[in-house]
Amino acid sequence: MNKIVLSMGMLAVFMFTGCGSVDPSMPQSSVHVKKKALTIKTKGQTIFSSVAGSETLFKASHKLKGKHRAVAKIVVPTINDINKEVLRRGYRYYQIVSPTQINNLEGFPINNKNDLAAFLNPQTSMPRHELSMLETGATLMDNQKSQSVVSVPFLIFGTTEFNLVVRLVKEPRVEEIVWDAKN
Amino acid sequence: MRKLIFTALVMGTTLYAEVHAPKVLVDNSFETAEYQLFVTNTRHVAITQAMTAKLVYEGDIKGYYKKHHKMVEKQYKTAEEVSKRLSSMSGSLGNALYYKDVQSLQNIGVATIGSMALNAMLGGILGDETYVQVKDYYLDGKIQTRLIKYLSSDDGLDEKERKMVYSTTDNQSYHYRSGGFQSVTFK
Repeated sequence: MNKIVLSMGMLAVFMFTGCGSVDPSMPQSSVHVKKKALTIKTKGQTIFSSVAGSETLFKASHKLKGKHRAVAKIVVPTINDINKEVLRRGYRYYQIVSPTQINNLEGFPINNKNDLAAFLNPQTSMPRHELSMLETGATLMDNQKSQSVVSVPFLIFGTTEFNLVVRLVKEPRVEEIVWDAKN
Repeated sequence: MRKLIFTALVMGTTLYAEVHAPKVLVDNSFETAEYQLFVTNTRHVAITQAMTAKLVYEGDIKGYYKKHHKMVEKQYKTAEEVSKRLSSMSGSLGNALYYKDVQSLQNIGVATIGSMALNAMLGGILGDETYVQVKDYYLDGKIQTRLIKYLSSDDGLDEKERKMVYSTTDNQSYHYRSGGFQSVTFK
């Protein structure tokens, strides 16, 4: 009995330490990526307010009732609303200038909602189809404190908030990282 | 006893995770558990064979911020000069749209430089391993677009491994873990 338990235990250890087979038929210098499309059903309210003394800056604040750890639910509707607002103000390009962690003016390179949601919440983009049952849903990159830009309340009765400052750009240069409201 | 063995076998087959990794990574004994690659094309221009690439920056994110900071600071100084001259020329220009734009830029400038210092200081504590590769693409001597590849990883990658990751794609952001690759889009 003990021997069986021991050998099964060892087998399990081999499996979870990555002793799996390797598929050599994968193409070189290109990655086979599984594409996944998600639809966001929840929607909070985005409130826009202007920054004093400025024509090109405005604040966007998205509020969604409840505690939401999956920040894609907040990030994606916010960006969709900002795109509409930017077009309404007669501009096409803009930059996020606050919060600091995702400040395009400082050189933060992400300028589309899919990548931003995946960056702020790595779990949403994780390749679950390739994971074994025992691997956890949380990724190692979820531990990064630097990515917590959405304020999640302590209790479920609170409100999850995402506050941004956006700067409108008339004619961006090639090297400038800008968001395209029509894209 | 039979039940135990049977259960163990069933469990074994369900838990078994097959690893799919690109040959380029396998052949070169690529060792990391997890990374995310984000590709930014500043003008959304597709990269073709006819274009020539010029490397602007490759390496640690901190170095990129320092370089970028210098560039931005230069822009602010120019903008400041322009706004001073304009306002000295005519007081009415002070209320013009352009002047306000410059003013707002300067306001951000102060915040940027402050937060930049904070970033550099906290980077070592908060930061994971983050690298960037910035390339400009030219066609007939004219700049077409800038491609930024932002690589965020749970573990340190050496220079050779980073180069391999950058070479895997020009247009696709993805997440790698346990040999699986996935990219996600939202509606």
